[in-house]
Amino acid sequence: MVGKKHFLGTHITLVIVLLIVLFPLFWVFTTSIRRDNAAFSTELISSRLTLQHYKELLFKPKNLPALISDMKQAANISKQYKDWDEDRIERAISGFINQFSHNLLKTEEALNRTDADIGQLEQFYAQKSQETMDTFLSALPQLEKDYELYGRQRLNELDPIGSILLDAKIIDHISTQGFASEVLPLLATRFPELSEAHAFSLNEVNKSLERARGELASLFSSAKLTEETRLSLSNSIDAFETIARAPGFSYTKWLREISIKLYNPLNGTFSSSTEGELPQRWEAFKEAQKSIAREIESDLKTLDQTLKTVAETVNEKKAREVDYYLNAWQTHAEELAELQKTLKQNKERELSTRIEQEALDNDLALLRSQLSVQMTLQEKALGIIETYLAQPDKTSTDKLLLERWNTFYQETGNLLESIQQIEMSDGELVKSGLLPVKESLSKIRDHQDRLRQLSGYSAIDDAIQVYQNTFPVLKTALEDIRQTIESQSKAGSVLVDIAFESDVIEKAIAYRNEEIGALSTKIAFLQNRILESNRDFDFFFLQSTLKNARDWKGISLFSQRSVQYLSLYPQELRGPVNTPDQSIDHLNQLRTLIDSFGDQKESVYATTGLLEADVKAFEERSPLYISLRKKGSQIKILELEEIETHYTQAAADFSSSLNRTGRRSSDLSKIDFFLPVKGALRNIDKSIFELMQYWDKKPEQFFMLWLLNSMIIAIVTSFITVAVCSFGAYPYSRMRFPGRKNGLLLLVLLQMFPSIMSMVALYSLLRFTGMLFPFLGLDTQGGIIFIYLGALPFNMWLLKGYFDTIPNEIEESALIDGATRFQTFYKIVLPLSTPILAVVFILCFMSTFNEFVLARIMLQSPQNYTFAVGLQSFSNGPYQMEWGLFTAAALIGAIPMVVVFLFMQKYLVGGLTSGAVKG
Amino acid sequence: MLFIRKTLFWILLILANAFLLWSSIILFNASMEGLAISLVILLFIVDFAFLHPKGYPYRYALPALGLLLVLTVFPIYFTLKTAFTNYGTGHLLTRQQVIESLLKEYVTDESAEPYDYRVFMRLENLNPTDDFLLVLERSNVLYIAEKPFVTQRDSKGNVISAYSSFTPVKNDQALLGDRTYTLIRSKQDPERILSVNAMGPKGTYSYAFFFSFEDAATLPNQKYFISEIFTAYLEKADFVDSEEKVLRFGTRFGFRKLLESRKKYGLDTITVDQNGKVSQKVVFVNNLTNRTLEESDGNFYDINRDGSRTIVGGYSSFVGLNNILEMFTDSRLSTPFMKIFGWTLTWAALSVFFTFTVGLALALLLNNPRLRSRALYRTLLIIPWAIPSFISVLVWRHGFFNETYGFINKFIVSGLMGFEPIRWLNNDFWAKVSCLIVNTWLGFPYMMTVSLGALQSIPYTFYEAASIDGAGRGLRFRKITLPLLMTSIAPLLVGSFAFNFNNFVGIYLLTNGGPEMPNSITNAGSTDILISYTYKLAFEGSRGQNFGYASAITLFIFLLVIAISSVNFKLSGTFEEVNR
Repeated sequence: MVGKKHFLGTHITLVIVLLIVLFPLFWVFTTSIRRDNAAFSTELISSRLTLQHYKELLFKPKNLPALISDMKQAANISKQYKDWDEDRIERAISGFINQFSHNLLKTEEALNRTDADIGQLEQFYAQKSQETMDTFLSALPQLEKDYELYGRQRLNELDPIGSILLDAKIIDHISTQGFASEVLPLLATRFPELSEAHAFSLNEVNKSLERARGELASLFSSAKLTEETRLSLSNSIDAFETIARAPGFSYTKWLREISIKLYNPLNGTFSSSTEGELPQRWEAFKEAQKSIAREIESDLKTLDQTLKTVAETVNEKKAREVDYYLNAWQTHAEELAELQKTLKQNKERELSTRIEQEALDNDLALLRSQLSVQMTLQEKALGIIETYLAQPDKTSTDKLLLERWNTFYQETGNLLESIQQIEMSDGELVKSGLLPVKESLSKIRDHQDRLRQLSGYSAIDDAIQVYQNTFPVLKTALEDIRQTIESQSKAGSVLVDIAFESDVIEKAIAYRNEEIGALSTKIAFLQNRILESNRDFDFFFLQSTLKNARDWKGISLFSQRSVQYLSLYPQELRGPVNTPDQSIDHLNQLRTLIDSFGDQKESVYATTGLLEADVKAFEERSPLYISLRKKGSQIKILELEEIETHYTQAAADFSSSLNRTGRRSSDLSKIDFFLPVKGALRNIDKSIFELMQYWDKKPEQFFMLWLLNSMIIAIVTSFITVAVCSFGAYPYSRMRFPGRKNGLLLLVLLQMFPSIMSMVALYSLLRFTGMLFPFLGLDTQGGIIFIYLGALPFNMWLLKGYFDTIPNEIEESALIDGATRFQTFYKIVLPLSTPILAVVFILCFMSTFNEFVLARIMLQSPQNYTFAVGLQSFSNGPYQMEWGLFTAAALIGAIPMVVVFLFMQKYLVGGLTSGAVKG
Repeated sequence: MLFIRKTLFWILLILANAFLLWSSIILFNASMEGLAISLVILLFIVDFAFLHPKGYPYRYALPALGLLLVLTVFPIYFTLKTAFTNYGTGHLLTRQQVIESLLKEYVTDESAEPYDYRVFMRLENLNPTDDFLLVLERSNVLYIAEKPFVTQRDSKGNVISAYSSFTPVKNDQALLGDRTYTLIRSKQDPERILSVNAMGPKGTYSYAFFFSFEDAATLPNQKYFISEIFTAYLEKADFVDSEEKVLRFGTRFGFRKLLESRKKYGLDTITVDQNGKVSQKVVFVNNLTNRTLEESDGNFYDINRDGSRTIVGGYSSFVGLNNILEMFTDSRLSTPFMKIFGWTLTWAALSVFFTFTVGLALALLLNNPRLRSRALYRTLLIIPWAIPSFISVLVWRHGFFNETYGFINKFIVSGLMGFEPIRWLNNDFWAKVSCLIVNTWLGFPYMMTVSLGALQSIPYTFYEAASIDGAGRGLRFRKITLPLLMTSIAPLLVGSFAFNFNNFVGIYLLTNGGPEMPNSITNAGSTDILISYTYKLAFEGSRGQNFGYASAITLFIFLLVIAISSVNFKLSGTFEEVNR
């Protein structure tokens, strides 16, 4: 601000920010005028524009399906037509019929326009195709020479492997797909004998077929036959020729396809003929055909034999030189994969076993600690016993005691045995902490006899008791230790096995890797050769196609094959093959477009004709139907059902294909090649789009109704709110009364309650008032206006603030002059507060218009929705992707609000900040 | 003149009192006590306003206060009350209503012999009307049944129950209600009844034979019969005779025949021993199985043969602080609740932060009086605020953030930058990001406007003095602009925080609450704020609507917002204004 002279940076920043911020608006606008569905298009902005969406929203024109359903409703006298009298219904129906015919007329007009454009396209096509063909044909000789040269070069360059591969490919192709014409030149070069055999066999087949035709001719000449019979017999010979030339011909096939299918039905005609020799002639004819078929079969079989022998030789060579290595490589690779898998599994097992071992170690440690506890007890007892050892004898006579001691010594013996067993299986007594136990127990056993002599001393007995008490724990602990040690040794052996296995596997892997390594260069070489031989084969194939490229069809085929070839092989291997002229492809597309339109046009004309006739029939009989219906009869209206069937058929027939044509023509219009006819193409797109608007089913929407609802509700609510609030705010500003201070605070606090949750309460409130006053119930506009009147406190606050700024003196002087309080209010204060009233009105208007939640809950039928609810339901419904309609509606709804806002922003900003900025 | 005015005044006052009193009584009867209390308060205010000399100001405030009481106080009371109940799916009716509906349930005896019927219709100019009667027949005994009278309709106007009576016919004559019916038979075929004559105080009418399932000749009338008569009157009707036998249309024969039926539940009194006190209690008894229904937790349970319980009716009952406790203790409810609460705070704070930053930045740029076309820039930049927010949010949601077709994914993320399409609305983090983006876009014009206003109130001289003393632009901003700005803007920021705290539209329309949180028994989403969560609980519960719990959360929100607003008012000195 200080000293800033250049604002270029500021301007640039602001412009960028503006572009980003206003982009959504821009997007909404462009989407609403697009013809295609923006959701599925890859273009940001489309050049196919239409105002159709706006038309639909604002004017809701009725197209054919809508009219059909209207006519049905009227003729069936349902819904609103129930109370109409006959004349009125009839007039309505004739109105619908007129619109219907009008729509049909428009359809035909659009179609005619398109037809004219198609004519233009035809001309363009004819001209361009001639040009392209001329260009191609002029370049053809050179091209043929280049191909020839390259082909011969390739054949000369073939090394043994390449040669084998090429031959194998040729034979393979012939074996699976027969002696196709494209393969014959190559066959002649590589397998001259086979080629000769084939030529010979072909010749023979031709001769046989000639004979067959000859037989037929003689049959014709010698007998009087109907036209029909002649035709079917000619067809049979044609069929014979077709199957004879196709691969896989056999006598049984001839029997099945020709003799049984085509000749048997004619047997009747011939055998019942009156002409003397005809039946025999017929039999003779059939016999001749049979023998010819058999001949052809044998010829072809010979050829087959030759082919087989050649194939054998070739394949055997290939197996030796090529397949052998490839298979070996394959096997090694597979084995390697297997081995690696097993290795991985082994590693996992090893890991888990190691984890087990660790766990067992932990267990042992636990058990050791258990033992040590017992050990302390035993030591104490042992200590006591040893002090008594030196005492004089005192034997006890207690039988029980002696028995007990016997059991004790037995148990001691058992325990020592168990320890011994463990010791034998695993010398690691130290590890398991059993050594001290063994020692202590051994000591007791050793003192056995001496102790008997001291059995009288109770202390000894106690000590023995203590010992005995440790035994249960010892027993279980010993058992556990034994098991743990067993498991550990098992785990140990498992680990050893795994290590051994892994070793073996690794050795095998190393071996496989070596083998693969050794083969790798050979394999690389072979694969390279295979690629080359494939490419060579394809090239020769292509070359023979070139030979037929003399007319448009041949040229198209050649260019298609070229494209395929180019897509398969990289730049270096292409040889003389070049990208074909794109115009060929373009012209083919144009051809499809023109042809498909021809079909669709027929279908549309047919449908419109049918529908016109149907509608006329309906028109004639509608008065009759109406009067019958009025009398209560439930008679079916056939004409309407006809109309509906025809419409549905048509919709299925041509709607999607016409749309496709339209899209195609717009796609073509973007290609430079079609620049001269760009206008025609775009017109076609446009006309088809317009045409389809009459036929496509449109979603039911009430946007204008919704907008109207919103406006009405918002305006009424605002008026009432302004009135009530100004009345309510006045005393808080001007008068002192009990409950003023707290009332204001309460008001402000009440405003804070989230209105969303008052929904349940308000819902039941509206339901209740709806029972008393129908216009104030659920799903009515009165009801929702009533609900919206709850947003008072904030507005009252604003108004009070403003009233406070109006000086009291004016009113006081008015009061002195004899005005009542109320008169000062509405004659002085209100006029002075017009600015703030306007602000409150607009704020209220805007917030009511934008309010969505309460409206969604209270309004249930689509006709009663406000704009907010309607737009949301529309955007989430089955028309979620109909962005054109949605954005057009959004724009229409947004514009009034934006305009109002922009005009009033002065007031609004002033009103808001005057409340906020203190001082 | 004055006299007329005074009388008019008193008449109107009395009428108003009467109306309010009468309405509150009706409301009390309809068990809407909250509304009734509001009206009673309104009554007091009206009287105070017009009768007490000090109540004069209240006359002005009356309409406002009235509307407030009904539309704001009543919902608050209602929410308060509901927060302590289990009002919701399965517990929508009051106990009395459930009892009534249970007593109305019928079971038809499918094994008994059915009644055939024929419809006789009064015609007007050969057109059928809606005045008809039925002739029933079973075991060769004929009965006359009159047209059922609809006793209850539901909110859409469909029939819930209807009532009719029937009586046997003797010698082709019957007396029912206040009319005498005579059967007219055909002379050629005495089995056929041609019509029925009804003689009564309103006159004599003739009912012609209209329809019967056995008579193929009447088939054309079947459509009319089914649509106009059966569904409108007969389907839910009880036909009762003088011995309290009830006939209804059952499931076995559908609309072809009537079957005897009886009430499924009856009342019985049993003696219970409650803590030493002996008392009588009225319970339900299932008439078919003779078992008593249990009642607990706001539900009535019937016991099946294998001992398991099924709910036959639930009513809203008082559960005390259960809802509030559950909110914090039940981990299935409290985890989502805490997460949502956390996000609500974050969301409000971040929204304020972003909108304020962007708004302030733009205001600083625009604050130069020497900048050309300032007004144009300002007008254009206000547009996001002007467009109704629901439109903008919907456009952003479908046109920009749609994963596959949205503009951002198609052209910027995948097109320009070549990343994988961002799953805007299906990923927790990105959904939150998208909410913030949209809210910033919607809210920055407001911040920009108020910042502009506030910036203009800072005297220019401050900046001059500072720059003379050598302060650079950054220092001037930090030490002069920001502090002075904050004093005036702070209330607005807090206000904006409170607004965004409850910004339902911005969240709900954009993400519907966002990708669902897993492991949540209520459909909580990761971009849900408290208010949208409550809305979903109350109105969209796929597992049932739980108004009780929703109301508890609402109270919680209410208290929070009051706290925030108190802070706001302290800052803006509103409290002093009130005291003025």
